[in-house]
Amino acid sequence: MTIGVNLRVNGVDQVVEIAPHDTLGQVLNGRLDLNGVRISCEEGECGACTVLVDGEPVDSCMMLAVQAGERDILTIEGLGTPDNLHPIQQAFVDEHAFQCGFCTPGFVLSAKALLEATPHPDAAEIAAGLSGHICRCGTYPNIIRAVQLAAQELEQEAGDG
Amino acid sequence: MVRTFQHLRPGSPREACALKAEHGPDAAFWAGGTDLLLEWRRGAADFGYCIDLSGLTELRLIRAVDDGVAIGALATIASLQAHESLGRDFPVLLDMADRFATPQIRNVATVGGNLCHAVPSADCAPPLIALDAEVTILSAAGERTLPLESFFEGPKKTALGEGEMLAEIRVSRPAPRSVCTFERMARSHVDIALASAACRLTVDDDSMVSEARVVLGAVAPVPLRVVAAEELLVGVPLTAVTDDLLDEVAERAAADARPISDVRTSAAYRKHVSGVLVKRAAAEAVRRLGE
Amino acid sequence: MGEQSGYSVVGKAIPLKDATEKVTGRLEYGGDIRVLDMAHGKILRSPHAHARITRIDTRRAESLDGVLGIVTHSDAPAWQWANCWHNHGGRILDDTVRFVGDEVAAVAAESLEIAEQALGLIDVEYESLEPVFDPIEALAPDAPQVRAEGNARPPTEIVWGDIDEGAAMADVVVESSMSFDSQAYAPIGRNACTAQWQGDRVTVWTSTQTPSEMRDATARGLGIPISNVRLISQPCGSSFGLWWIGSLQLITTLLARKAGRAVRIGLTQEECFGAVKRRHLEQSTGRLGVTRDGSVTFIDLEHVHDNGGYGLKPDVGFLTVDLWGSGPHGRFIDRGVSTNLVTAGCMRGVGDVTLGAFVERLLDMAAAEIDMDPLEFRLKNHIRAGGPLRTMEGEELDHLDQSTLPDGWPELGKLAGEALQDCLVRGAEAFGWAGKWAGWGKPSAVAGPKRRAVGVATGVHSCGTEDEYPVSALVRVHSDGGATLYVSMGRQGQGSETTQAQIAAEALGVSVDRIRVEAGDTDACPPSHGSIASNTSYRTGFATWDAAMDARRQILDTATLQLGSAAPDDLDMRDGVAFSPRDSTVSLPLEQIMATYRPESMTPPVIVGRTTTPMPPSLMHARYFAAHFVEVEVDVDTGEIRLLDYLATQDSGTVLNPKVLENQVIGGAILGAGFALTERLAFEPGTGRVLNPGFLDYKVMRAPDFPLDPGVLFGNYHDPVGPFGAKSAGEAPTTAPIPAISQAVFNAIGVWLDIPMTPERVLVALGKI
Repeated sequence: MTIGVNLRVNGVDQVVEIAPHDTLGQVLNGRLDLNGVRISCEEGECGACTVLVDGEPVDSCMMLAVQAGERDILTIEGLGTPDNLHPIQQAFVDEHAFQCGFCTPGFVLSAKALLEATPHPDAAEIAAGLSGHICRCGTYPNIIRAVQLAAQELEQEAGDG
Repeated sequence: MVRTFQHLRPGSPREACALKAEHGPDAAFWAGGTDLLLEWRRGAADFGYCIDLSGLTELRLIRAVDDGVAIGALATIASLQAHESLGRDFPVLLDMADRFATPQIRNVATVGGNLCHAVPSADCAPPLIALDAEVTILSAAGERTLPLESFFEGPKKTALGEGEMLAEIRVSRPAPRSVCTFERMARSHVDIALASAACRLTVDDDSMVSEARVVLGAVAPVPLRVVAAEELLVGVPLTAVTDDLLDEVAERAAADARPISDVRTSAAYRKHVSGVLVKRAAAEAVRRLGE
Repeated sequence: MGEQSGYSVVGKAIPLKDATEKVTGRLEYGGDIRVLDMAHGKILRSPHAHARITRIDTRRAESLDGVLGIVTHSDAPAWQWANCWHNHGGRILDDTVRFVGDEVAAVAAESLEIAEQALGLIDVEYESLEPVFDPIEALAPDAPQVRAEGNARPPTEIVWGDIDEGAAMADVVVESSMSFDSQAYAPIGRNACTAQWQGDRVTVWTSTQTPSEMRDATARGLGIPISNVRLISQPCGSSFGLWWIGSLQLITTLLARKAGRAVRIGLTQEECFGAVKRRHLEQSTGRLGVTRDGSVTFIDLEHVHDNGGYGLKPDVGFLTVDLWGSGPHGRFIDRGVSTNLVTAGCMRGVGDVTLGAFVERLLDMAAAEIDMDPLEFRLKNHIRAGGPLRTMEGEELDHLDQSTLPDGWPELGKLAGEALQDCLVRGAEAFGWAGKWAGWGKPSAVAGPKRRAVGVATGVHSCGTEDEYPVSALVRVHSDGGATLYVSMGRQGQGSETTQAQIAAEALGVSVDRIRVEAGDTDACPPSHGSIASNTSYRTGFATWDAAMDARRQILDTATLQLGSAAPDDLDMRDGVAFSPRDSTVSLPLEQIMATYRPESMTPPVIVGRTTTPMPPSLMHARYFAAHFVEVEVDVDTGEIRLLDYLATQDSGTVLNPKVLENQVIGGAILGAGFALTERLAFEPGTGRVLNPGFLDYKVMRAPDFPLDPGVLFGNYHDPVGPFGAKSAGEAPTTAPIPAISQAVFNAIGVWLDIPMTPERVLVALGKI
């Protein structure tokens, strides 16, 4: 028995036939081939599968797909492109804010939401705001620097715009 | 045959209760689902019908009411943090929310879900009990209220009967000189509480403790109010709440703790730390009252 | 931490080569690979710790609609396959199971759901065998035998001098024991294997640190020619030793052959944590003697490590014996023993994390007894250039004739050099050690229940090893002047695709943007030692450098031919242009060189650089070092230990890329600190089942758990052998945190603890519970 759900993913509406128990993460990664939605712990601990739902970070492995219907979903694929990185992505590159990179999409998306709520966070606020993410490679100090750099870049952009 | 459930999405609390009454234990109320999804996946919970409450928008609200605040059962933990006046009137709820799980979980997990899942370590319980919160329960028959203190009957067992749904948590604005604090101990920054404690102290115009609440979390089958520890503080002038007295209060509270040993830590550790947390929560309340 | 002068790209903090893919979520890991018509597999796992399979009937499962094939021990070859470094020895599927979670069978089906259902339809009868879980119990001759070879491996012994003499010389002898819980790799990136047969050839996609080794083990494990196996290794999530060769890959390959379809088996979090591999359970006991003026006279210790169900390691790998072996007498004994727990093997830093931490503890206890500052004590006793490498004691060194070694080789059996002294001195200054050290067992600050104190410790590891596999690379120059470096190695976050490209670019004389790196395809890369044992910067880097230099020579020879009579003898190569340093009019861009056909054959030049220079055996002269400084605050009422400040210093020789090395150093420090404070696998009494196979209850560090702005400092050293003077990078940083934090905790509250130092253990040690 399947349900048709309208998922608005990265600005594109699509009706997907899902089983009621399918998680948003399973549908985004497994059905819509969005590999950047990284499935890992599947218990809401590591944050690798984080997407923004109506602008707020959510563990996609912990949300039923059916509960994400008609809501705006942003995955890393919808943020920047290889030729046109979002300032947060560029800041992560510049500050070497990743090693293996598996956790990176989740961190970037949470950072986006964090900076929208708190445009000038200090290191402690960044650490707390990103506490829903595990980086097993241990890159936290450079991740914090990247978010601080991104905050400056975004402020400048806003000033220029 | 793949294991699944049927998805039902009521449009009103009445409809939700009717569906639950119809399907009985074969149906589960699904709020944020952050606990229930894991249990269903593991097979620890099994049901044929998921009653998705996300359509009950009015239950998501946090409303100012005459004498305090009414928190809808479906208010997310994040909405506690975002609410403009809640932090001013009930800062302890903000303290609790700031340390609850992760930001992602807070965006989805609900106050009602946390209370109804009723694990001994539920973070929402100790501060709300310390604030003398009351819960409103809906059913086809109407509604009833209950002190939150009486809501918990055992691990994962609440006073909700068949067909009943938690709708709202009401907290009266405390007296002008009343402070409520919350302490928790865990293995790292993000973790289920190994032990927690909430303490509320109210002083009268003569700076005498007129009311006290001491509530332990995670160290008994249910969140535990320790009246005997409270009584040690009532009637004592604030200036006479010494370090020694706080030690007594802590010891009396910890004496009632009956925690378990598990993969997280030992019962002995939990019991000891519950006393430490009570002392710290009470000391902080005293400090703030003295300001 | 400045950038190296004198080089074009070595020493520069260039962005990672795969930065864009990582930050846009486009990098494909082992689990992301999909092939056409792929079936899905699941593994059936044993519920028993030790049992014989007396009957296994797959008929009910086979008749389920959508099931394509099932393998059990009857499909598996009778012989054992072997992992690197004795990390595994066993059949692909066996009729004996040796830990809860051990593989019993595997099913391929049209969908994952069907495969999962089919698992439940496989009928298995077990005859229970007596299990053993405790390593000491398992050493007893009458213990249940986990494997046919017996539980105990032959002990590894490193002995020099005479212990009794050492004890007699000592003014003070300290004695202690220390035990270590088992650390889990706890990866975020789960792994998968996809195998596809075409005739008698198989292509296998997975994430691994060891592509060459995995290809060879797959071939040997299945009994097919090596050239019939193509292993394509994808980048890994963090690995630390987890993703080498595994049952996963061999079972998937076997299953795909049986099912007649490409098959993908992915591992769940629970399987990754609890059913593949972990760090050993370890314990040390021993003594150390010291003179009043602070000279170590002897170290005598015994170490035991468990190997779980399938590990076969005779020793945990410890170079600590070199770091602290300059004294006249020593005896280090390590014993490996099998248990009915999930297989244990190498994890980042191996024995230098555990046995190393124990030696540091003995050093600290001795220094405390003679009231000598731990920094001063270490400065006095650590190995220096020319010091003896005790790891190498024995016949090989005794019969070595150093005069017959090739030119340019360092003396073997002795440490070529170190900047540990430099790290300790400059680190102490940067950390403010002198102002913060309050004396042994004395906190520097007390406020209510909080006690603050500092600690310092050191660590060491090998710069790769010549054992197991040689290193070899190819540099192929393309017709447009770009080049591809083909070098078999892991890409598990250590930045090797970037640093190896920097080495190749520097040696070749082209821009690093023109270098592409192929690290995972065994059809393209020559067989080479994978990214384990701190191999990559040093040994793989040497191979890369040598191959690039060979390509450079070929280019310059070709340019010389093309220039004809105008060719001077001293052509050089820079920024993709061959030129004469003496005559600026003489120059040829690389793309032109590659486009100019050879007159005798009318074909373009073929420039393929190969590794041909033999590399001096690294174990016999090279080590790299870490020195960490930490400030802790202990809460004596709750037992919590908080890290307030951290400085990690490291001697990795020439720094190839400062940001990459910084990440490896801090990342290793965080991994070690996690083990020091919270990380431990819990085993169920009676079954050995892992009770916390996931992040919920296996606690790793998050951003707020470690100092937000830790310091990093690199020692000044140029290695005589490593590429451009570089040494290794990734494992030494994991070795120093445990002893540094341990010492700080002792200084704060006066107790020494087992690892991890949980709040509960702190309170027990303080007598509060």
